[in-house]
Amino acid sequence: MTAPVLQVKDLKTQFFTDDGVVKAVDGVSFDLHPGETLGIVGESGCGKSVTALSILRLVQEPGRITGGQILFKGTDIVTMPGDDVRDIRGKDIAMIFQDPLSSLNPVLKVGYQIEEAMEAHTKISGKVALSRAVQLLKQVRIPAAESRVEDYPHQFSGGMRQRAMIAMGLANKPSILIADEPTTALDVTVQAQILELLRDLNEETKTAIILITHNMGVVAGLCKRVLVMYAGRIVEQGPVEQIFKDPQHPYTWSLLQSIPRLDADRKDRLLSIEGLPPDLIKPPRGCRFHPRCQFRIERCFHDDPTLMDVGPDQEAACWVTMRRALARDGEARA
Amino acid sequence: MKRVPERAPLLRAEEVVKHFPAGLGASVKAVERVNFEIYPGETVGLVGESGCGKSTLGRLITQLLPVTSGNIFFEGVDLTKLSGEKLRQKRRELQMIFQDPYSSLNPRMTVGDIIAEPLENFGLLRGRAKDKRVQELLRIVGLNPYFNNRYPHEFSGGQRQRIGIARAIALRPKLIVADEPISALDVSIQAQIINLMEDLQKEFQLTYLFIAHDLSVVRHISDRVMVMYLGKIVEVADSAEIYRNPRHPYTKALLSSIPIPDPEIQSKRRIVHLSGEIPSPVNPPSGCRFHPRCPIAQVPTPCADLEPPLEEKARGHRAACHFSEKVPVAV
Repeated sequence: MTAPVLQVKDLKTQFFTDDGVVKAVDGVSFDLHPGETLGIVGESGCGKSVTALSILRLVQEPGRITGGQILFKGTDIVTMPGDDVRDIRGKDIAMIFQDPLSSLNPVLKVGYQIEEAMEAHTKISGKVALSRAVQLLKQVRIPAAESRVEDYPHQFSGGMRQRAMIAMGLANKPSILIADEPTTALDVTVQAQILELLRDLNEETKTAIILITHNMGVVAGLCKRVLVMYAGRIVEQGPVEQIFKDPQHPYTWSLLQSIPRLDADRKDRLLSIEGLPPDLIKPPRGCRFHPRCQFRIERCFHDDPTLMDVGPDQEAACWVTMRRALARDGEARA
Repeated sequence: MKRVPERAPLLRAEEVVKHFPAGLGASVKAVERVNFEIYPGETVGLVGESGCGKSTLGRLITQLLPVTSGNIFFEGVDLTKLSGEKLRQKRRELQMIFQDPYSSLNPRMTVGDIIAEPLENFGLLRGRAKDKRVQELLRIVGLNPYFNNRYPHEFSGGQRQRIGIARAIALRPKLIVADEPISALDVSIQAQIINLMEDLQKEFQLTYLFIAHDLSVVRHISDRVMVMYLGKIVEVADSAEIYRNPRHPYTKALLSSIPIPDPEIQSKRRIVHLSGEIPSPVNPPSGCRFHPRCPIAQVPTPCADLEPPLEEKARGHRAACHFSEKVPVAV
């Protein structure tokens, strides 16, 4: 395997609020290889977006990266001077956000904004920039790109705006594109198109994609590998097929069981995860999921599990794991 | 299933139209000549993408918006002809649950007062009896009965939606219109609310109109599903039937777009591509409103010049398409 393009090692990002220190990201480690598609899934407040913002050093006050390393091609972004981070942002690592309307400047033409993204990093003539902007809009399948490049954001529909954002993200041929809930604000038919576009672009350009989402279905359609986050930690990671077929952490398992599936027959009741995600100022002792876990054992109350091998290339932070939990339940019933 | 079609419908909408003025004499044709029935005890799912008119239709049914024309019969009484006290009394039986549990609860009222408000409006209970009822309602929706003195901001999104549900069932309504009740909630909380709504339906014989854009959730909860596109109902069928055998190309496209949380299945599925964007409801396309984006349309005749009626294609399965037999089967 090639060397990873990005290595996140024991990342800790905290928010210093009046109520206390929120441990939003608490010891997250993962590698991203060139051209890979990695999904980070979890619910609101699990730390998935803060992880993404940390990678680009975009965490706002009162938040701060308090520990760990983020190695981009071997250089640590965490300790890098601000100017160097600015060079990486938008050039080597680009990011697109959930709401394309608020990420675009309403008073500037779409084409101009794409050109701006290029000119921020390379000296090119206006003419070259314009033709490259048209080419990028074509690449993200915007019809009549030559005339659309002159449009303002309000003249674009939601799906087209997200395509324009992706075009801007790809303007400098980055090695990594981070997409934070890129389809959440869009209708399903448009969502499907954007996901297909990202899949195609990943194949065409070999840009690695980190997709941040709460939607397991979206991950299944785009990513090869997935990290499941809960309460600031990675609780499970592995190849997508493996995680969806044989999840070992009770949180992953419960999430998959709790969503109604289009291809499944109507069930009487959905599995629901009782309770609420924990307060990250004072997370629970032991495993952070134990107050909501239906498979917990005594050890889970006081002993905090770390990621352990649970399958081929698959790790989970759980003392029980679903394999044992389900076997135990089977015995209990028999 | 639960549905007994021979029974009289609880609600019947006839040729319901809603236009909103859009300036310069133009109008947004949000709902255009819509007809349907809802039977007692069933859950009808209403799906479609943003701007299709599904929320407007929900508000017309609960009379939060007046119709432009058409009739809405609730237990045989035409709601559109009622006003004042008569309408207010009918509204007891028609309640609504909203999408955003943050903006639909008054932040300056205690949860107890929020839930008691409908009881007070109708002068039903007073003093101790009212407090007892409020606590009972909190318990029914799975909240601590002694939280009645707390304010909405002290609760999470899922808990707030439970409060909204408690308020909606306080008057023991017959029909509840739930407009995207779970789409603002986290995945692990969504199942809690769906299960609660199903439990309440059994306990209180409720009838639901469940408005949502998420077809997997709608499939789970609904007995029948109605699909809307640009102000029109384009397909109605039993839940299992519409997923197995969609007869409108738009339904088919919607179904194919929903991601299934299974990488093996997902990689083999094919998306039905819709060309272009949803047209403006100010000036909807001629003939079939879906024809400019339809993969099987025959233009100009008949699709661009003849509006297909919503007609029975199989027992209990209606679709508005000239070529419904050509819609490919299976998701």
